Amino acid sequence: MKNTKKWLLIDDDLDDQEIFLMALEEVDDAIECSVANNGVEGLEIVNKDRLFVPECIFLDVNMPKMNGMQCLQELKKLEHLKDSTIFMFSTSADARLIEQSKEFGANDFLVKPPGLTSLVKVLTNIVKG
Amino acid sequence: MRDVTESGLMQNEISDLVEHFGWENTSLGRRQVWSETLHSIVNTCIHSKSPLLVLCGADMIIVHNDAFARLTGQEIPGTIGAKARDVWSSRWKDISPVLMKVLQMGKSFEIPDLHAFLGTGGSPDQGQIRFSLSPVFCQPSKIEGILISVVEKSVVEKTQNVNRSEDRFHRMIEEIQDYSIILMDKDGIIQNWNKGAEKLKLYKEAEVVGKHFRMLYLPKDCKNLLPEKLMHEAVRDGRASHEGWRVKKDGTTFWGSISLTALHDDKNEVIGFSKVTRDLTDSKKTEDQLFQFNETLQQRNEALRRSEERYHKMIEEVQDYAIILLNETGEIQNWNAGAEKIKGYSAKEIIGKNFRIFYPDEDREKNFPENLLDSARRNGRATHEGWRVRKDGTTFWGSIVITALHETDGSILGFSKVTRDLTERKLAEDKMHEYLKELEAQNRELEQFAYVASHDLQEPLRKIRTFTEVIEKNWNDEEIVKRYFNKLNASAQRMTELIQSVLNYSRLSKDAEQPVNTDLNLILANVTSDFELLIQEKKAVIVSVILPWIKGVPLQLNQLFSNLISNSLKFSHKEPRINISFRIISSDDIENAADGIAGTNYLELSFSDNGIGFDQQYEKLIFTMFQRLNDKQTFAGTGIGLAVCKKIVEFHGGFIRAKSVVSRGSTFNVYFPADRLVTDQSE
Repeated sequence: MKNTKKWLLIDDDLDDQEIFLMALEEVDDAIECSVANNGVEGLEIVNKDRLFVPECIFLDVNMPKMNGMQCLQELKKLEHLKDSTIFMFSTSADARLIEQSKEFGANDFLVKPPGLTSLVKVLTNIVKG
Repeated sequence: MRDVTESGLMQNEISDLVEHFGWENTSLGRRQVWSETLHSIVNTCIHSKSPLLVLCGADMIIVHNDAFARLTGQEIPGTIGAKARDVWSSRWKDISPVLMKVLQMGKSFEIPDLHAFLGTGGSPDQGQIRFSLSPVFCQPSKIEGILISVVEKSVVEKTQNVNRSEDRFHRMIEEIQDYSIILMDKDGIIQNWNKGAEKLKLYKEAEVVGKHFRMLYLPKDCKNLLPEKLMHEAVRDGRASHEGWRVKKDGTTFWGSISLTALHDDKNEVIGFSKVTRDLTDSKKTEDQLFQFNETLQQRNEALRRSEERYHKMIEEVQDYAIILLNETGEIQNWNAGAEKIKGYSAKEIIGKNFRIFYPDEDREKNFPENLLDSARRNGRATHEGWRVRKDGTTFWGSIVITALHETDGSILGFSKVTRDLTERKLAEDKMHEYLKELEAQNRELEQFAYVASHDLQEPLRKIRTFTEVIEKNWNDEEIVKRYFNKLNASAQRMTELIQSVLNYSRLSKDAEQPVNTDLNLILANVTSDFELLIQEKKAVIVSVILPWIKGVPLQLNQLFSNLISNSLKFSHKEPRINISFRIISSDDIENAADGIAGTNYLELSFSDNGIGFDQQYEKLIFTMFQRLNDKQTFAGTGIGLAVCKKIVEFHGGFIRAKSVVSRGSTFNVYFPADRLVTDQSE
């Protein structure tokens, strides 16, 4: 596969970024995952390079500058990302937030799993479709 | 004219004449063939002393006596035996119809003036006599002749007049319907009973005549011998009168006015009584009704007066309600004890003034009192609750009911206004609302708390589990193990911090400690001392004016200063400079002041720094628990600090505001009510 799969992780927690990349490498090391530290940075990335169309976007909810929900609304406005799957990615599952994310067009709401193994499992499921 | 003494001779003369008259030349024929009736009538005629004339047979042959001749001046030899038509030829056309009428109808007729009738000469005492033409029957239906007789008019008429007068009198009495007129004998036995008596007493004449008039009286009057007393009085005085209840036949009563008159004979002996009774029941009833009505009216008036008095007294003495009367324009007409107690004015001070005096300026400007009257005018009543002003300027929470009072024609007479002082209730209600608000706020905090438990505390926990797995997997890679142990430690540390700050926050309580006079300079010195190392490290400068003393909870104020200064030290890239100052400011001059504090003075404490600042739109957000504006990598923190500050300031009756421009520093202004300022520090 010449066309490498591209993902985007938007999360302000460095530890979470590291764990995520660690798990993803274990699931499929061919996937190229870009990382943004917050919503503003994330939007910068997808706006700067229109050819960068991530297959999946993982979006943390609680972030400074621009939180996950605001970022989600901005991402949904971008025509070239209309085929991207957007996962909300948060520590806690708040019913109101889940409801809101669906309303704004997120494909799913994932709770960050407690542990590396469980995160690997979650990502595996996503990669396998 | 012949003498009366001559009449005997005359009689014999006529008798001879009749005997020897040549009757055979008349239609009567010889005397021997006359009927017995004719004989008898002729004989009666000629022998009678009163003037008589008989017309006999079909030719009406005249026979009359001497008295008749004397009366009318008839010539005896000339007329006896002659035909009536021949004798009275000149008058015959007038006389004959009358005679024919007698014959044909067989009835008597009277002739008022015989001389005029017969055309004879005058006679004495014309006005005193009357003539009668009567048929003479021989058989019941056969008329033999006509008898003309004379009756002295005076005798007839006198008798008739007497009879008529008596009759009229009887009739009158009998017919009188409006008076009962009774004739009684001297013992009181009823002799006579008229229509009026029948109508009034319902007895028929036959039922009462012969009975004692006592029967017309009530048993108790009979027992008291009233009828006898009246009779006695009438005998003594000629008459007696009385008014009282009498009995009718059907047992009902009527109010009778009686007059009993004694009747005397020529010797002045009482022979009986007349009793006239009039039914005055209607007038009596009317009178009685009038009397009773009057009596009732007086009683009612009295009762009304008393009730009105009582009512006035009651209203006057009611203490818990202000009950006042307003005229139609709202001027106060009366004043009770309750009104004085609630509003502070005495009756003398307030009567005549307009009730708008009880309303605060802002209500008066809006014509609120007048609108209430209008509403009462339209709807009959108006109710309202609101702040009212007492005489001394203090306010009370009044609950009022204004009721329109109407005239009988529906026009407005005025208004009654009942006011209750519900200040205590209102204050209790307000307090309850405050509690409710507090409870709601606490509830929101609890929700945030739950969010912490589910989110912020989960985060380090999740990491600890993940890091443990990473270490486990890379047990042989010393570098990774070391690194992740550090991370593990950091997460545990963070968790401790979080739990500690949540605990601190939850322990913050309004009523935890009594406020005392606190020197803010001392608080600042303590905090500065706590941060000494960090200040040195960051080369920070803290400049402050001499701060005032305030009434507050020292521990909380310490926390407040600590959090604000640590924030300024934390969110800075360069050497932090912190300025602390204060001033007294009116709430009207505070930008974005808290609600409902217009015109209140505040102590403003300002903490300014030269730090990274924040976007002004996040002002509210920064005081909310666990809201971070900055990423945790650059600026550590639990996201609770400012939330704690806000809570502490609010516990002290104030509020906190933040102003900032990104990267150009922030100013945190803390506002305490000015009355927390301590002027005399020795207390």
